[in-house]
Amino acid sequence: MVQHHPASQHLPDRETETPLLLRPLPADPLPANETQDEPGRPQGPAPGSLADMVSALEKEAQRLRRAEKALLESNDALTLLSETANELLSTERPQEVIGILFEKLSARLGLDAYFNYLVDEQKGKLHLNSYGGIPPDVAGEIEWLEYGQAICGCVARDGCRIVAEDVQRSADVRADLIRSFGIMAYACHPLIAHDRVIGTFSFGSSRKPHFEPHELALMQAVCDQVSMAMSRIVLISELRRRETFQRLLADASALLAASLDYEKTLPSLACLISESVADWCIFDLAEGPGSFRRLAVGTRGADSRAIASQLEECQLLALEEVQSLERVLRTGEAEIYAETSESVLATFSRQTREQRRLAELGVASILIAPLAGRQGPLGVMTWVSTRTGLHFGSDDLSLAQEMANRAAIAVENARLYRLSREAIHARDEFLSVAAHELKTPMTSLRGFAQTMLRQLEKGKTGDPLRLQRMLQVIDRQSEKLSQLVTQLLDVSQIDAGWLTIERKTVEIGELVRGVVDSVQLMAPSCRVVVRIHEPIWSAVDSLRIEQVVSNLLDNAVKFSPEDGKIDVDIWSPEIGTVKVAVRDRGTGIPPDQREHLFDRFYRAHAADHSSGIGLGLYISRHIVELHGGKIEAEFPTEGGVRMIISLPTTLADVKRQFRHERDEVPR
Amino acid sequence: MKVLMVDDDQSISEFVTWALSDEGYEVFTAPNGAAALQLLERYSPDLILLDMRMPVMDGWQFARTYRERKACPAPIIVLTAAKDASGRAAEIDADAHLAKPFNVIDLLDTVRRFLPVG
Repeated sequence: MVQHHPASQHLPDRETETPLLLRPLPADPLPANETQDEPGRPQGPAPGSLADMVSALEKEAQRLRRAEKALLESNDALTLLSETANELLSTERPQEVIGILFEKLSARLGLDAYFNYLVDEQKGKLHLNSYGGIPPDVAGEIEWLEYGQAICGCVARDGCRIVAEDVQRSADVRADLIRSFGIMAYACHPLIAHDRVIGTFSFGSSRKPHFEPHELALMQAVCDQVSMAMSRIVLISELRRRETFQRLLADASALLAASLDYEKTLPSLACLISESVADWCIFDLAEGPGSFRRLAVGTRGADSRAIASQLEECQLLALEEVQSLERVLRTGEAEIYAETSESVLATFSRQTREQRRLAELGVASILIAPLAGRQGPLGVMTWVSTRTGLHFGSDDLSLAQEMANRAAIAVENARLYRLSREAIHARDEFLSVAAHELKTPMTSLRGFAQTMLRQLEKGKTGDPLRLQRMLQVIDRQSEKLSQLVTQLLDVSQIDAGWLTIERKTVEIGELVRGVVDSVQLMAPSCRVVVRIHEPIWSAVDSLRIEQVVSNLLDNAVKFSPEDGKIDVDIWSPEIGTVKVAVRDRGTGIPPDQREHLFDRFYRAHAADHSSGIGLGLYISRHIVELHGGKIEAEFPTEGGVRMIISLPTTLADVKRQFRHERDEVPR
Repeated sequence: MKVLMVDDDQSISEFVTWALSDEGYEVFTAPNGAAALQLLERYSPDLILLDMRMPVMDGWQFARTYRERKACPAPIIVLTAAKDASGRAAEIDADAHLAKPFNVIDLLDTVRRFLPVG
């Protein structure tokens, strides 16, 4: 290679005041005479005198010596590049071998100083990773550089190499820093991984005013190696990170699949997460509007229960208290607080004392992900980092969302499974109760019939009074059976949507009194007091409404004490409405049983086997609703139950409807 | 020989009383377990016919309490409308069982197994 680079248009005029320039990587310079050679032209001296021949030979020998030297230099350069490549490839931390690379280069290129800055993305600044040629206290002053500050800052900002020459004579402010170190020639290279500037690597010489092109080329080649080595490490660590994520997700899936009991699996998941990606992991489940339950708190190393109770004690990170948790639950969007400044902590607790407590616990970064169910969020998962320097980022967010999705599916599946189990249980229970209710009257029917037959077979006619009694029982039991069968048929009609009503205008008081009379006959010990405030006419399906009133009265009698009083009121609270209330003074309904009173198969007194088949109130509710009315239960403080039916008195409308229907009949 | 019939359905108790009285047995009835325990303070039956699903006190609770209280408890025949009558009987370690609706002849045969003479 040439020793002296010929002046060319892309090199600066060394006498000018602006020796700093940006320039592209120069092409591999060739010896001047070679570049001037024209192809096709015969080489060597023209045939002539001996002196000419000697001169030609000498020239040829010179050319060969130059070529040999160039070859040796290029060989040296290649050897050096191979050594630096070896250094860079044999480590997982290329940033730690920068000094060794400099040693190798400096001996060859006469370098006196180097600086290696790396981008700190959290801080948005450049950090001095490695340096040489300046005292440590001076290095301490330039530990951090802003983008655009000094030459390194400009290279990092723009992603272009800067070569500075004759620095000591330059007035460029960007060179102030290196000028103060006595540097004369300087070259700063961007380190680029995956199209992003990740740092800079710069070399300075205090011995010469500028670098030769081949020297610049060699520095550039080493910097390219560093870039590639760092890209490689970025890729490797990304691969490892993904592998870790996948393994974590697989572990989480296995954990959640191990049992349908999320009360047990979510705490284990919280532990798994807190042992790997976060320091604390908290699961909060929404249990209803404005009501939440902290299901699990997992913490790394420290005692989970201690942290959980601390959080509990001062309402720290409690869903009810913290707006961001509530917001994640409402919007279903995850939130990240990469750094917890005072203002961030303020949003996580209302009291300054609690904010201090969070800071003392070392809360450094927070991530909140919704547990998204099919019908909106089921709760939230909160990750907390308590290590300075470990801040959650977008990578953690995607993992957190994956984790949260799996947890949500587990919770939802478990709930669906529980619902289906409950439905199956209710059906089984119904079948068993229905069997009991059907078999009991059947038992006495058969029993009496067989007892009578035995008597007849023995030739005894028997006592006529006893015979009468037997036939009465048989009659009543078959009536009971037929009622049960009717109820079962009603329910299947309701389920199929086939239950219809046929309206006819009747006086409601009269209808109710009729039912009361027949119930009173069967239960003479109960005192039923009927109060009819005024005659009220309404178009109803009288058989169906009788069925409802009779069901309410039967229940009242069944749960009343001997000779208990039952009040029946019929009144019109406003025009267009009639109400019928049946009030007993019986056992009442326990508060926890009231919610499902009108549900199918629901038996409020199932525990003591005194409830019937669990269909009466369910059928009654449907009949009343078909009439456009409603049925409610009140629970007086003195005990017992007050059942109230409200029905619209839709006389005019019904008449109009009847007329309308008649008009539509084809002639 | 004394038989205690425990069932909340009055008409079942009624015909069982007639059928057994006709064979010479003395029958007491109780509408639930608690009433039966009260009766047992005055009478000691030689056999108990027991329904399982009853209000106030069911058959399970009655059987447990009765056996706890008596040194030599009478045999118990379970009368049940449940699908798995033998299972029910096993639950309280009963001596025999009859599935409702049962045949009067079967009832008499089962009772005679424990009390041959009425």
